[in-house]
Amino acid sequence: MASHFHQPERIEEALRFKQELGEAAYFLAGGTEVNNSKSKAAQAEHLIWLGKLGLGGIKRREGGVSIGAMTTLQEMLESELLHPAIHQAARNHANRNIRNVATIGGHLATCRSCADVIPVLLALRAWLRVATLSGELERDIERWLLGERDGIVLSVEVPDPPADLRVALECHTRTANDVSLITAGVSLRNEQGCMRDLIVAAGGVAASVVRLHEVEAALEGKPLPSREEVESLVAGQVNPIADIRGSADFKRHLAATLVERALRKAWNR
Amino acid sequence: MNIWMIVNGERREVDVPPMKRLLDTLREDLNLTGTKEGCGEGECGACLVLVNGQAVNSCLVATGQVQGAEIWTVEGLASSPEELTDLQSAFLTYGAVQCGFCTPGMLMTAHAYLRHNPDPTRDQIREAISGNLCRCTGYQKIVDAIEAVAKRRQTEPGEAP
Repeated sequence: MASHFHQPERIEEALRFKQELGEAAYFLAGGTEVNNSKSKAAQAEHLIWLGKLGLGGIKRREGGVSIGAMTTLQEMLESELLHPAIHQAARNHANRNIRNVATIGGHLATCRSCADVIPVLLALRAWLRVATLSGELERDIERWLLGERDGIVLSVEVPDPPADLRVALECHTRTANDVSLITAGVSLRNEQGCMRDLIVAAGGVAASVVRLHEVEAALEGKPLPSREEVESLVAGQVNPIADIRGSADFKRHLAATLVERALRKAWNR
Repeated sequence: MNIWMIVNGERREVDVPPMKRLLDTLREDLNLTGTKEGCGEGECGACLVLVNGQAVNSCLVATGQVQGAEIWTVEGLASSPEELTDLQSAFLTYGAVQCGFCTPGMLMTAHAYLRHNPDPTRDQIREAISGNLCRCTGYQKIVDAIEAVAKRRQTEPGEAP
């Protein structure tokens, strides 16, 4: 159990604590990950609680919506300001009791491979406002996923999508309460019978949620090919690991099926 | 660390390590043992309490996080053992209690949810209690009890507890 519980009231103070304490300290947001007795963070000596930084709330901004990092997933699910696909993704996350506590900032910081809400943020081209000791910066979510995770997420900025953007999500869980085994999120526009501005994201197939750039490039500007063709294209581009939750082959099969279903759902919308 | 909170309507102060789980602070320091520990990792909902009106698993909350918060546990529902709330009575009437281990959490979740949505469908009730596991699998009767209370409150409006 941590012996030091820091409660900074300014962002800079929180960043300084982390800089000084390094790996002995973890940031604490809602606590569904860090307070879990089975998590590594539960053994940390120092915890830096972010609950006093005023980072909650969902606000309308020019050209989009801003989701404060301490906003809970249940607040996102109930917010009329957010895209319905974000509601769907938030609903997939565990259950109401967990969503009442889990924050979007913590969801991004934990960055689980099978994170439920990250694929839809990629599909909607959201980006992050991140505070670092050298100042505030805008960070592409994909770069965040790839490891550029220095600093504290201040907010997730979701731009208003074009009116003809079609978004679709799929996921597979063992039970409704369980974390997803595989998640898929896609967005596209149908321009004269061809797919444009395609984004294909998948969770549970790599260390974090990933965009499948090769799949996007192969399909961009074309009508949606047959189910078999899409599934074999996706299966060739994902390399999930085998673990207690499923074999690599099973996960690859699932990823191909779910990405194809999401693409077809978006295409037929 | 000295932490104060309003528990079941009364101001309480405890001197505990800030990372002590709210669940343990309630049970060990405040003797509120109605709140149960099931899984200890946020899956079962046996430790469910209300923090500032929200249903949360107290095994996943550090006591330091609830400084100054309003907490309600199952002990705070009935004003006396003879005067149960309509929800508690319905759990008895409908046989929604088997071993009883999930009951405090179920009651608190249902209590919070009916304030949020006073007229839920059966599916919405099932969704609302999806984070509360009943190890006896007695879900039908739990849903029956919650549904009956919601219906009665619709037809006999009074001050909801």
